[in-house]
Amino acid sequence: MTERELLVRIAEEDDDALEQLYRAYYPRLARFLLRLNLSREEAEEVINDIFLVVWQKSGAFRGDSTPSTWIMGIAHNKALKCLKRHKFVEPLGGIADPSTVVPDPTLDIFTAVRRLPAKHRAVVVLTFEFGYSYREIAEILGCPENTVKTRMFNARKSLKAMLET
Amino acid sequence: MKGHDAFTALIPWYVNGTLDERDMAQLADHLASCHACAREVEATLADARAWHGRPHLEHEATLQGRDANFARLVRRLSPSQHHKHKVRWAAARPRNLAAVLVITLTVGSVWVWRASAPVDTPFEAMTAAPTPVRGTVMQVIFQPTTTEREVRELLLDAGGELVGSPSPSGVYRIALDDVSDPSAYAARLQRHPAVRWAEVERR
Ligand SMILES: [Zn+2]
Repeated sequence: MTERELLVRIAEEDDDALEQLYRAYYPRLARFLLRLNLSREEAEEVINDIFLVVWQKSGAFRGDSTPSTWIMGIAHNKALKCLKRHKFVEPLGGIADPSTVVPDPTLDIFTAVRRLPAKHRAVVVLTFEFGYSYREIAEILGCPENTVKTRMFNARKSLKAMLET
Repeated sequence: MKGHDAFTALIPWYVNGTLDERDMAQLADHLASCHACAREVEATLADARAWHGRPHLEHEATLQGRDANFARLVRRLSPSQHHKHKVRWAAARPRNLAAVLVITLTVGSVWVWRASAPVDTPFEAMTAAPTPVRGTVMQVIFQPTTTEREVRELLLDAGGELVGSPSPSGVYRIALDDVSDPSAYAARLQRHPAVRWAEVERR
């Protein structure tokens, strides 16, 4: 059964379809949320928040996006909401100014990405961890393609500044 | 962004192999004459490889919580649904933990391999020793034209996960949860357009 067919069945309150989609997406969502800096406990809770939306809104899924970008879009929204609770330690938006970054040669790419603003981090993770195109990422984030490119461009600059040896 | 910067901005998706033909052609033209962008391709490829060198430390632990977490979700569904689920879950069979623990990162490493060949490219074999798994394992050879994305869709469709890396001869191992009739499953896989050959692994 395809993901689209599963969504149709979920809209008809088919719990087996829900379980099948849940099991299929669980590893991917866990990776996404952990990479976005959520803790394991937060990730588990947010995955269920995501599937509660899938359960309630699958009837509204119209297929102008793919199931994958639709679900990852819900995940991104829920993750940002969760990260807002970290607000004292977590820069959420804005442009990370590469000129203010202190280079640290002991950093690896993962730690460096964790230090990016969440919106930049999401673009990097969706590209490098999941292999989405910039169009798909624009669908997931619900923003123009150029915004995706700009966030990535700035993220790469900040990463270079951080990882500079 | 215009000119050089607009091309630099495309490089991450050149490296992950998702640019469309038009972007690809324009970037290829630019790369032929821009050393800075050519260096950026190298740097981005190196980062992409480093990225796939290490799974997230918490990932496996989180995967182990999948069934318990689904049970928690079920409790949050509406009361009428709740009843239906409760009955079903009371009868739930013990799950095969080994299959739950299967590492999904292989798809990621396939992606890195694909990254070095930006045009939509057929699968090729990577080298690795087989990973021992309990439960049902299917051995699958994909059609040479199959892309990483098609494999992802197929795994989702089949409800399975890749185990380890493919053998040098291109045999992939797919671990499955709760398969009552493995041979019928293999026959179903065999009919999939992306699959050249599929068989239940003998133990
Ligand atoms: Zn250039």
